[in-house]
Amino acid sequence: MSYCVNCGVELADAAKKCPLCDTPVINPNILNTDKAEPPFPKKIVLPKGARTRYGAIIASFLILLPNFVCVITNLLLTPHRLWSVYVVASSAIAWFLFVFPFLMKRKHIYLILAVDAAATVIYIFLFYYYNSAKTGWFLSLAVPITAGVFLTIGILSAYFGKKKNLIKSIIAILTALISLNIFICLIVNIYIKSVIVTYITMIFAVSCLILLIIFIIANKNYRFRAWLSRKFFF
Amino acid sequence: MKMKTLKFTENKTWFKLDNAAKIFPGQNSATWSNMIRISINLKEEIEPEILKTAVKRCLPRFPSLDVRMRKGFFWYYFEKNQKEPIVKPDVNNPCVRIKYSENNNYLFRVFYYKNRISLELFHALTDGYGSAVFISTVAAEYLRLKGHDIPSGGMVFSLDELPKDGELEDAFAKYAVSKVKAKRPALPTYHRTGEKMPKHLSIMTSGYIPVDTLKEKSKAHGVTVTEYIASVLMLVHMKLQRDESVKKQKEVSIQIPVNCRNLFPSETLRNFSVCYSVRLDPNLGEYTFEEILRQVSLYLRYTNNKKHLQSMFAANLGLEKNPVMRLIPLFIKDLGIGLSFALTAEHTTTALFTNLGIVNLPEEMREYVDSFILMPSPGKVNGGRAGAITYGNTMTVTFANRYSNTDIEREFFRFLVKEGIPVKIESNKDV
Repeated sequence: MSYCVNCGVELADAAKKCPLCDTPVINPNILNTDKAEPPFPKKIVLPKGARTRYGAIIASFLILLPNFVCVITNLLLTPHRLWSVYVVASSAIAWFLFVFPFLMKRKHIYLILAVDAAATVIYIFLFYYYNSAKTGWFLSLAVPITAGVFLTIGILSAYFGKKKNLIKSIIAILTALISLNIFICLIVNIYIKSVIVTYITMIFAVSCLILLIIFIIANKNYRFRAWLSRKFFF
Repeated sequence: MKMKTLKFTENKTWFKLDNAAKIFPGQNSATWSNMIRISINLKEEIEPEILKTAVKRCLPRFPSLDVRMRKGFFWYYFEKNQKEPIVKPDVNNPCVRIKYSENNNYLFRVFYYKNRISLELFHALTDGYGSAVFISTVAAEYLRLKGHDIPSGGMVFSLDELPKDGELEDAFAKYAVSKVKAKRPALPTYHRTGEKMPKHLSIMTSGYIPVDTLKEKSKAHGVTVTEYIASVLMLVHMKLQRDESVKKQKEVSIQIPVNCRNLFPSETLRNFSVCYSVRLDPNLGEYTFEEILRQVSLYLRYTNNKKHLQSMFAANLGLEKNPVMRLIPLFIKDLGIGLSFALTAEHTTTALFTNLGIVNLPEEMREYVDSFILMPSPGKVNGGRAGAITYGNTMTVTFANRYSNTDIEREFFRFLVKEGIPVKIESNKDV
């Protein structure tokens, strides 16, 4: 029978430290606490994981069914026009974006993003190939923009994996938006010189930049934060 | 008004969830399990095979527990469970969420560890009183099977009797006759937070307290034991919030469930308890313990009456009986319940203290029983959720804590020790 010297409570015989304040129990009369039975077993039993994988498999079959019907109908009725490619491609992209992550046992966010990026590029390529193969916008526009978007999402998710401070999160999102916006503007301008796109980009980037500066100052300066909360309380 | 009661023993094979139970499946999640844990410490080591036989023999007497959860289009319902109950060795992490398909479809788990039988029940089945009756009856039957002569009486129900209709009624529906619907408090309150434990893990800290000393103390202050403990919990949260030195302090609200069977002549074994919330605003000034005791006891004595309870039943039943609500498909209802729970519910309370009261066992059984433990499910945002149960001269106050810091428990039990009440602590932490 030991008591915690800090809390004054009696402790279980097996206790090596006080559960309330973590003060170690040193009782010269009871040197071997290992022999005493602890009040609880060590074993932790976790519930089985959610059955999202079953749901994902069922959803996959459900997506497969109308596609199969479309392909058969297409081949039987209009074999000269492959319209079912669009249906299959749209279903495939939906599957990669919304079903595939749930099929994974351990969710690797970067693998999911890479697969989604690849699926998106292939999806765009199909449309490009069947409609405007000669214009060349696929390599000069679609691929870099898709890569840029997914890369930004990847960097942001890496950032949010560690920090959750609201102001810092807003700063991160704004920085990402501005960079992505300028990148897209550059890509578009290389492909087709467009003044309108540049103007829109500038308006968007400048508005985001102003917000960004405000948040950076708010993050750094306590007095400015206090002033903001004074002026904009509601 | 003629009540529609359940004749489960005759020809019905399913029945509806009671009014309070209806929201629990919608809230069921990894961080909010709604499981009640009740344990009985015997004076001899438990033999699992005999315990399993005892549970099997008791179940026909408790048809409201011998069920599985099923989904209808509009509501969940209970159906008789045809499988065998499972008895398992105890685990370190109590009150993990229940999946309706696990555990042979039973909505309760039976554990054994050394000389302790523990029962974890999904709150949709019953409340603290129902679980105390079930575990007492199981323990009595276990002791009988071990060769002891234990009669029925008190919370030990006779297994020779048939279940009564009254034990299976939805008492909320029966007594919700008030025309006035009570309003629920919706103001956000203070929460003692910290570093969260990993999912499905929580810290359970039990304090064994001698009832005579506790009664003496509370009597000296002119309050009941429940009022006294709730006040200590209030004081602890007030102090913790003050130490955080935030500019604008939030209200502290202690939720206290009351067993409505004390005021209404119902013998139901399903849910029949509602919660009062005692609130104090620390911005009004620093409260002394005496002032808190006075506020808590006056509030409870002023509001805890039949009429007020009936208006609370009416408010809850109003939602269930609303024709629009009834016609909404179950999965949308579940989403709505989950959302409303996430936005209000626990955010409007700081801590919970549920006192089940005294467990009444037959005289012949008392020599084999050491103590009882009651633990509410760990909260999603609240660290201090405590349950108390009294047997003989021991009251066990058990905290369920989602966070790895145990400052609420520490301050609470230290206060009792300072007041001259000896406490013995047991915990699942660092075993």
